[in-house]
Amino acid sequence: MNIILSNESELPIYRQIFDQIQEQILSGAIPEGEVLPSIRKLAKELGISVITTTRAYNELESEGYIVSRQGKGSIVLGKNNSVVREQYQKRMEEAFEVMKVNAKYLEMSDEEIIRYVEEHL
Amino acid sequence: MNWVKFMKTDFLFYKYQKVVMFAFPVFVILMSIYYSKDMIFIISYLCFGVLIVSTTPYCLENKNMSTFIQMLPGSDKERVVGRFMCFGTMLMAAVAYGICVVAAASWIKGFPVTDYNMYFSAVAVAMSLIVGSVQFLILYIAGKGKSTQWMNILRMIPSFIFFFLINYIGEKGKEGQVESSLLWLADFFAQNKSICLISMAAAALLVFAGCIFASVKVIQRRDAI
Amino acid sequence: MNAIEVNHMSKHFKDFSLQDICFSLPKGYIMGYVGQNGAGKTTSINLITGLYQLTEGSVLVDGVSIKEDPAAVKESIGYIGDESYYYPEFRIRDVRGIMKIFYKDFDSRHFDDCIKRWKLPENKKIGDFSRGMKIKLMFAGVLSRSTKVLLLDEATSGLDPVTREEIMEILQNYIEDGEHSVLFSTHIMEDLEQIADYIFYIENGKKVFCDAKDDLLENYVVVKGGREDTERVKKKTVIGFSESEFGFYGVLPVDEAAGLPKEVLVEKATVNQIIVAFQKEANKRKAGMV
Repeated sequence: MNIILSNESELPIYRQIFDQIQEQILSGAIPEGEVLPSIRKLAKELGISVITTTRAYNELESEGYIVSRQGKGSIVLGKNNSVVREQYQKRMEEAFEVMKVNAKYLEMSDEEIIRYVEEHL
Repeated sequence: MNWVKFMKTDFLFYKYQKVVMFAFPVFVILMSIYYSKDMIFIISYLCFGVLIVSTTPYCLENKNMSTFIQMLPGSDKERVVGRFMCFGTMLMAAVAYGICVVAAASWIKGFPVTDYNMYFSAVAVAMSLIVGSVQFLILYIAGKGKSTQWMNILRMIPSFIFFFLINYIGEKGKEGQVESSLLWLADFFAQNKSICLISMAAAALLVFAGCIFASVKVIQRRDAI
Repeated sequence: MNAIEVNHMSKHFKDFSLQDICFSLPKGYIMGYVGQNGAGKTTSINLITGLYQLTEGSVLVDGVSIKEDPAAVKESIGYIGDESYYYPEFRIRDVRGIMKIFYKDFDSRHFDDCIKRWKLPENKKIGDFSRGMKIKLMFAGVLSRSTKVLLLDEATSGLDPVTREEIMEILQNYIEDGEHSVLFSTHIMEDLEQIADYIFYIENGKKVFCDAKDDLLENYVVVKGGREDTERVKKKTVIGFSESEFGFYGVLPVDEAAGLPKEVLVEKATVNQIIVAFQKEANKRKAGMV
């Protein structure tokens, strides 16, 4: 697991951690079932406050990416987990919207768009 | 028994006062070679030395060191008892040393130590226990944070008074020139030696304990630093 | 149970008063205690350690009251001051000796490890140590005991940045198990920006705020703009406001930053900027009153 924090970013630190862990879970870099480092270990390794890492993990849990159990740590939930699927769904829809906008700019017709998709699958 | 720990800590200060701790006993030996007839002088000089040197831990302790010592687990009573016992132990050790040295010197020189000398020395020791205890009480009342010059003077005064007083009386008594008003005291003493000695010892111990008690009361109400 | 609980703590001196200080430090966290010189940081810490007697109020350390059991409190606390508190003539072995005498749970091996790791000289007088070495020696002593809370009184001032970072690491290691806590007073905001969980700000003997650092960072923003927007901004409760020939600067509660003209730059505030802004306000008030 990699966490790279930026002081320049407008995002608060807990948000950066959340985003990066979320990304790595979605991409599979952090596999299902993996036990994340403890809140305190993460805080110590990153040199930041415990409250910050606690908040990041709480958000990850409330969004359904991980589940924390007393004594067992925080475990990454599986790809088949509905939240993860939902995320991917959302991303695909967003990407599709972007494609539509770009295609409109290029003045592609619907048939041209479908042909493009078929060619590139 | 925690006070023993504090006493050991006080003694640790002396580890680095090597010059004084070495020179002083040697000086006593030299003196007894020259003044061996004058046991009172030697013993009172020893007591005087202990009185001054015993205040070293108290006076050396600056504000930062006080922080460390005050943070050591223990009650105020244990701290004070430890400090007083450091002084008491030192006094007893010095007196034992002095007696040995004088006895050796007298034996070598070949003349006996008079009764008068011995009894008066005992009085001197009891008195120095009293003076030392009161001296500590005064130092505790004065507190820290006053200028070091003032402290240095303060710790010297009782010892000097004691030293000169003892010697003056001792000398006068020896030559039989005791004041008429005190004559009855000298006679009383000569007649009831054991009782007087025991009561002196008891009085000295009472003052010692009393000053401990009073010192504890004084510092309990105050901030520790 | 909280590591430290302070209720209406007060102390009256001739020329200074600490008034009605209240806060709690939960177990396993780090609290930064900040304020200007003379604001009352050292007095507060001395009251918690029991070195000063409380005029009013109560202090509980690990649930134990100082008044009831001062010895137990002293056992739980590891105190580190800004100056060495060992007799300057002592050597390290004397410190080891005293610690062994007084603390049954003193871990000599851990102490020796620290000495070796930080390369502290065994045979030099402590009075001749460098400042960094003196502080590390105090840490070695304190970390080799079993304590519940570390209290640091400006222990990092005057240290080089590398040593300061080492100390921050030590503190984070200390709290890692969630059972140990740290309260440290400091001027040096960089130390707090990173590892502090809570920040207590004191001014003139009184508490100004005590918040989670993350909340503080979310509640304030820095605003900078041109002179033409000065009046708009001044109407808000801006703190630490300053003007120059080329524009203005201030720190604003985040909900008041809404509705400012687009030309005004709004950005994340650092702990340093927030605290300094508060301090400037306090100084302005003092100057205004005089």
